[in-house]
Amino acid sequence: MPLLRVERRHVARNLTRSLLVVLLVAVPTAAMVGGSAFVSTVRRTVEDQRHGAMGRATLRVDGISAGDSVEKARASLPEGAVAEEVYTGIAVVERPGQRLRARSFSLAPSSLAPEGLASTMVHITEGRAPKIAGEVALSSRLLGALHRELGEFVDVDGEPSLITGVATVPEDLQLPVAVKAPGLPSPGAGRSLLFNIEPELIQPSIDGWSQEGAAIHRRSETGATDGFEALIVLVCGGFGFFEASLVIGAAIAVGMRRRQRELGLLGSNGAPQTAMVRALLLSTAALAAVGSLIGLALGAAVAHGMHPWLNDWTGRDVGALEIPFSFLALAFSLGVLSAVLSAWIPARSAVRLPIRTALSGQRPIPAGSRGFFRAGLGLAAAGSLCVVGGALLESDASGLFILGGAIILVLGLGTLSPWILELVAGAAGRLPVPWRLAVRDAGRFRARNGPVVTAVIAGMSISVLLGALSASVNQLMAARMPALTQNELRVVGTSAEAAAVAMSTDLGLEGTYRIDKKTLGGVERISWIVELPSEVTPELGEHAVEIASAFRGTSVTVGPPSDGGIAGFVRVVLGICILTGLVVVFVATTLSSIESAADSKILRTVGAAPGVLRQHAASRAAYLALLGCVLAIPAGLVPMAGLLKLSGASLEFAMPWSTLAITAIAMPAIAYAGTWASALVRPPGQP
Amino acid sequence: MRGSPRPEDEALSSSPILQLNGATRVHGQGSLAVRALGPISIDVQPGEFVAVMGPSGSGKSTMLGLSGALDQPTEGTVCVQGQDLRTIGATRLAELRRQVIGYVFQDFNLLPGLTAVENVALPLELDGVRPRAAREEAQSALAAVELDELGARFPDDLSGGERQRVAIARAFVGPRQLLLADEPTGALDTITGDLVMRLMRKQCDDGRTTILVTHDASHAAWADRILFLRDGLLVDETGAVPSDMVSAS
Repeated sequence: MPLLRVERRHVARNLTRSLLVVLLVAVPTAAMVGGSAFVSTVRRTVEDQRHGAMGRATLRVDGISAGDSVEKARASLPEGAVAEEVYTGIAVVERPGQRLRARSFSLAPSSLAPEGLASTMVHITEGRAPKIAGEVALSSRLLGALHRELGEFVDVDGEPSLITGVATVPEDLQLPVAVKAPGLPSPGAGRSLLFNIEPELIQPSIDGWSQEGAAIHRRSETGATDGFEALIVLVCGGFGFFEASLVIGAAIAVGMRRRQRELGLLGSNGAPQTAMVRALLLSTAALAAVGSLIGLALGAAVAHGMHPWLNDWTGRDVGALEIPFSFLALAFSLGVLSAVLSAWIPARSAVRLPIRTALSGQRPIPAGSRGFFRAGLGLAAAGSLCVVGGALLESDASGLFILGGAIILVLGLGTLSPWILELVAGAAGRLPVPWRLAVRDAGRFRARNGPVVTAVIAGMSISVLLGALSASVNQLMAARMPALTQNELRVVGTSAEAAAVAMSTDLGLEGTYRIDKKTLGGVERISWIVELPSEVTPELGEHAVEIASAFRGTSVTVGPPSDGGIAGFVRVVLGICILTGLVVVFVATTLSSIESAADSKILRTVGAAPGVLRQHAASRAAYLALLGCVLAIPAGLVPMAGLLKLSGASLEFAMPWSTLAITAIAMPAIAYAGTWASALVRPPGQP
Repeated sequence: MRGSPRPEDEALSSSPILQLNGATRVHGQGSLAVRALGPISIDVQPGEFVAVMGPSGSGKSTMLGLSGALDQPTEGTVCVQGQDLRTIGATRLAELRRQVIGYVFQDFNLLPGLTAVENVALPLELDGVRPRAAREEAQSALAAVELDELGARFPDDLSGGERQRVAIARAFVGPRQLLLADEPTGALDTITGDLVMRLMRKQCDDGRTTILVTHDASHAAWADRILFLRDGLLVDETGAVPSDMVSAS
C-alpha cells in the first residue's frame, strides 16, 4: 500500500508526464475505435451488394425473351409470390445545347414503393415515380448538370418528359440516373424479372429460362465478404499501439531516471524489488486504462461526428453508424497491455539498480552495444532472407513470408540502431558543437533512443514502401499509356468505344476518336482516344466523366494516365506517417530535453547564446528523425521489391525518388524546424 | 605563493571588474517573500582573489549567481567591467559568459558528451574560434592544470579532482578574466582540494580575478580578501590571512 500511495502521488506531481502516457494510449485507441466504426459503417456488406444488384428480390432473371411476358411468369407463381419487371439501360437526356447519358430504369411505381422489390436498387427521394409516357425521375446530380428542377421538362431518349421526381441509387449516389415510366425502356435496355420467391419453388421455370440463355441470380449466391476490412483495422491498430508502446517505453525510462534517488530511498528502506515493479506497473496500467477509456469515447465521438459526411465521401448510402463492440474491448485491452509491457523493462531496470548507485544519482554506465549489433544484424538478415525467400518461392505463403520479413527487418534495424547511435557518436568530433552534443547525447542515451528510432523506422518504412509501389505503377502506366496531349481524352473499359463515340459528339465540339492499342507483357491493352479541336478544359473533363459514368465499367482519363488512386493514397499515408514520425520525434526530444536540462544549463553558463541552445535542441530532433528515416529506406524498399517480384513481370521496381527525398530530407528538416520554433517559445537551459 | 598586489592591479583599482551596488535578491512575493541576499555592495578589483564565507543559507551562492548573470537582482545593480547586467540582452550576456566570466561548481558541471579538451574548448568554439585553434588553446589550458595527457577522455573516465581541474581550465580558457567558483573543493579530498586552490591562486597571480565561495577557512585563506555573509548581509570583511595561521588551522 505505501508503494501504491507513493505512485499515486508521483502521478499527481508529474502531471505532464502522466498526461503524456494517457495521450499516447488514447490516440491509437481512438484511431482503432474510430477506424473500426468507419470501416464497419462504410463497407459494402453482402446484404448491401445484394440490394444493389437485385433490390429485395430473392431471384433475378436477366435476358428473358420478350415473348415470355411478365404476366405469364406471374401466372406460374404460387399464391403470394410477386414478380416485377425492370428494364435497365442507357438513356440520353438532353436540353437545348446539352446532351448527357444516364443509367436508365423503367419499372412500375409499385416496384419503387418501400415494399417494392426494386426499392433498394433505386428509389424516389423527392416527388413521385413516373407513371405514364412523357414522365421521368432524374438523379439530383443529373438535375444539377442540366440546371433543371422538378416540374420542368427535359428530352429523354428524344421524347419531351416532365420531371416528376428525384431518383437515387443507394449504392452509387453519384450515378446519373433516369427512371422512366413502366414499359418504356431506353433503346437497347436489358430486361430483368425480380421475384420474391425461393428459387426452388419455381425450378422448372428457372430451368426453362436458363435454356433460353437467361442469366439467373439467386440472392443466396450474390455478394461475398473476405474479412479484409477487419484485418486492415487490426493491422493499423496494432501498428499504432506498437508505435505508442515504443514512445511510452522511452517516456517511462526518462521518468525512472528522474526517480532514481526516490527508488533508491525506497530500496534502502526495505521495499522489495518485485513490489516496486508491481506498483510501477499498476500505476502505468491505471494511466493506460484512463487513456483507453478516453480513446474509446473520443473514437466513438469522432466516428459519430464524421457519419453525416460518409455518404458524400463514399458515394453510397452507408446507413446508420455501426460501432463494433468487439473492437472496443480489443482496443481497451491492447491500450492497457501495450503500456504495461512497454513499462516493464524500464521499471525492472530501475529497481534493479544497486541502492548506492541509485542514491548517488549517478547515471549507471550504459552497457556496450555489441549485443544490439549482433541481435539487430541477425534480425535484419533474417527479415531480408524471408523477403527474398517469399519472392523466389512464389507459393501461397509468399505474401506472408514477405510481410513477416518486412516486420522482422524493421525490428532488426531498430535493434541495430543503438549500435549505430554509439558508432556515430564516436565519430562526431568534427561536427559543430550543437550537432556534436546531439549526436553524443543520442549515443549516451542509446537504450532509450533506440525505440524512438525504431518507431520512426516503422512509420516511415510504410511510406517508402507505398512510394515505391506508386512509382512502379506510374512507370507501368506511362509505358502502357503515354501521356495525352492537351486536346485528348482517353477512354478505357468495357464500353469504351461507345463512350468515345458519345464524347466525340456530346461534348459540344466536333471531335474525332481513334483506337489505341498497346501490347505489354504479351497482353494487348485497348483504349480509345477522343481528340477535340480545342483544349480539354476542366468543365469539358467533368462533362466527359459524366458521360463515361453512364457506361458500365468505363472510365475516362484527362491528362496523364490514372494510377487508380494509388498516388493519392500514398500522399495520405505519407502524411500520416510523417505526422506519426514527427510526434514520436517531438515527444522523444521533449523527453531528452527534460533529461538533459542540466547540460543545457551548463551550456548557458559557458556562454552559449540562445540561438546555440535552440540549435542544440533542434539538432537532437533532426538527428533522431534522420537516422530513423535513413534506416526506413531499406526497410521499405526491400519488402516492396519482393512484392513486385512476386507480382510477376508486368510491374517492375521503380525508385520512389520524391518519397525518398521527403523521407530523408524533408522529415528531418521539419523535425529541426519544429523543435527550433518550439525552443523559441520555451528556451532550453532557462533557470 | 599568495602574492602581493601587482603594480598593474593597483592601476586598475579605480575600475572594478565586478560591482554590486545595493544588490538584493528576493524569492517569492507577498507574505511568501524570502530575502536571499542584500542589500549588499561590493567592489572587486581586477586580479583580486576574494573568498566569500558564511553559514548555509547566508546568500553566498545567490551572490555568485548574481555576479555571473545567472540570476538578476530584484533591487540594486550588478556591473561586470562597468556594464550593468540588467541593461544587456540575452545574447550579450552569453557573450559576457564566453569572454569574461568563467564558472567552477562543486559538481564540476562538465558536459558528459564532450571530451575533456572539447569541454575546455567549448567557450572558444561557441565564440566562433575555429575548432582546431580552439582545441590547441584548450590543450594549453589543460597543460596549465597538468592534464594535457587526459584531453581525449570523457568526464565519466576522470576522477573528481581531474574533473575539477578540467572545469578550472574551461573557466579560464580564452580571454576570460573573472572566475566564479562555488564550493569547488566541496567534493574533493584534502590533497586534491589544495591542488585546486593552488591552481586558482596561480590564475590570480597571472592577473585574473577569482571569487571563491567556500565553507573551508583553510581554502579561504588563499584569498586576498575574505567576505563574511550572514542572513544575506555582509557582516565582516578581512584582508589576507597569514599563511602560518592557515597552517595552524
